[in-house]
Amino acid sequence: MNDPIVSRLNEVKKLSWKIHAFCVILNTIIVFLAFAIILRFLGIPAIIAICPAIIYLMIDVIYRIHRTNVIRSIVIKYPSLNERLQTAYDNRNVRNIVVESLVKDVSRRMDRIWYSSFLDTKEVISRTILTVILVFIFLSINFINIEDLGFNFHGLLGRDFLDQIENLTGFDIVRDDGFQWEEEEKFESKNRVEEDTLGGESGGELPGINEGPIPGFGGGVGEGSNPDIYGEASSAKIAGEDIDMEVHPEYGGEIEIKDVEEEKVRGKFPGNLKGKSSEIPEQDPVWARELIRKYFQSLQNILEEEE
Amino acid sequence: MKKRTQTKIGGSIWGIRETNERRDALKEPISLIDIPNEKEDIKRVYHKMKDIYNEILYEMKRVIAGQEKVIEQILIAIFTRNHALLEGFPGLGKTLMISTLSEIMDLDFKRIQCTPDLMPSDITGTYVVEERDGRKIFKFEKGPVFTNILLADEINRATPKTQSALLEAMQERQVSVGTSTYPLDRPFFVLATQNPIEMEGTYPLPEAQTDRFLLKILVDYPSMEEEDRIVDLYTGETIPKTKRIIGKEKLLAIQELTRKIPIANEVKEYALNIVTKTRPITDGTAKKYLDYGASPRATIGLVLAAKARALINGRNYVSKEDIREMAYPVLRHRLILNFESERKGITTDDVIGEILKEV
Repeated sequence: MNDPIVSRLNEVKKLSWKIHAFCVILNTIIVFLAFAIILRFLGIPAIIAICPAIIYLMIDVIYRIHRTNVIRSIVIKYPSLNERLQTAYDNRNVRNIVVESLVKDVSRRMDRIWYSSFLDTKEVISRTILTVILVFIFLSINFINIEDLGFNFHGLLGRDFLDQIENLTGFDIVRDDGFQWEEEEKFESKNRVEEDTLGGESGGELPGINEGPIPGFGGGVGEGSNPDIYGEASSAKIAGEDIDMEVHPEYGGEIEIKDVEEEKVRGKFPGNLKGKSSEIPEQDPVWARELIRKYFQSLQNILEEEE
Repeated sequence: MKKRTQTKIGGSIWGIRETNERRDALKEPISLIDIPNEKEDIKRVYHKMKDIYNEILYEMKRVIAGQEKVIEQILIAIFTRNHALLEGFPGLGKTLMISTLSEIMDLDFKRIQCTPDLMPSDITGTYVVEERDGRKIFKFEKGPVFTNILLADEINRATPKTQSALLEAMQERQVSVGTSTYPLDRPFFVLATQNPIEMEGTYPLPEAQTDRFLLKILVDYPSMEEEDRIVDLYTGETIPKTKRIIGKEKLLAIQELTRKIPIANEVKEYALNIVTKTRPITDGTAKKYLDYGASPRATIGLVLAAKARALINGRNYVSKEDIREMAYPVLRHRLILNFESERKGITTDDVIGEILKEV
């Protein structure tokens, strides 16, 4: 048995796997970063990028296991060993003068093999550079608020698609920062005067919700530069059903639940009423809207009576 | 000057370290001399093989101008203990080539000029009545087949019965006459020639017999320069002479050595694929142009011929190039063209070329 050839091939095999492992890890990082950047642009949590990265990792490992042929990889780098090495390996159990001379010849040629030649320097450098660039892009888009640049990537995907992703992954997809759906527009103040008077970042003239420290000057409502003084779109949940809720500023700055409770007797509300903040208003049945409208009508009447 | 920082195999990079076994293997390379059970003459011949071949070629060139490929293929047939069929126009030096080879190899050489009236006994020999001590006894008079190199000139002019007399001699290397069997000398080769012209009154060799020839060698016209040299060689005062390079023992050692040449599985599969593709059982070139393909004997012959080619080229392994190169002489007489390809003037070499492209 031609042990020298086999032992040398085993050496190269070990080395080859280390190189493959390095390349696979590098490639997986690139895939992860690329997906993370795309997802970040789409407002989907970047952690989801780990899924395609793992899938890629598995495919690449399986592909390399099936594809890797040590003898072939040596022969590609050292054409002088072409056919010699394969013949010596295939005839490793044959012992005659010709085979032995072939083994000696191959061993001598294999002494000139350099480990580093199996590492594709160009490929490694290019991938490393790519990794650095991707890391830079990823960090940049996390520091710079891309929504400020006016991109609306949500519009590209569609709301249903994002909902599906949400359902599948369980992650909340951020889509309120500057991205507003057509349906959400009804939650905005109808004119800018409202927010100015109710108070925004710079304060308002009328008392608003959670009024500021100086009465009459507003200032308690609003967050950052959000033009909607009521913050996020809201809906109420009544008897397990989500319904749209519009808060009109002219009705006053605060909603007193106590009054609502009193009205509950008059307003024919079902029991166990509770409010829930939701980012996505859902389509409600007509009867619920009517109910809400009546509720707020009653509320307004009570307020007027008190005044 | 830039210093190389690479690490050779056996060094350590990324945790791979030189093992003790590996170090020992490097310190004590395998001795080529101390291989048990290896005959001394084989060892001697192996180490001088390239020189032997070059010397044979040199001596041949003193008599034959050009035709290196033909000489190489004849030697391949001899080194593989097989027979060859030479085809070419008259006057191209086929007979001279073979007789010169027999001189160089110090082998017994006999020639049969085949004609339609040639009888089998004219080849194998026959019993003659001999008078010894007043008694008449039958004695076997050996025919020309009892030699080392038998040149059967214009073999296609002999009748099928006579041609078949060569069958047993070629295959079994023995002759059976009556109830007696006579073994032939070793080495034994039949080198037959045939002319591609004047086919009237000829008997094309039966398939079974052509299959017994390892190679069909095409002898082509020499180039202008070669012909110029031929004229110089044979119009001068002296006729060129050759000297003996190897004897029977060395030749037998070379034959044994040829079979020791290792072949990679991949190369063997390549040869198998080529031969399989000549069989018109699947769609492809073979089905398009051939009626019959090559037999497993062709595969054996192809691998053997490739081994011999590797040996004479000083290589200790068979390459795909050897297989490709030997595919033509090994397969060309084993493929039977169909009517369509004959009508189109396609030759077996064309078909082999197509098959080689496919594989």
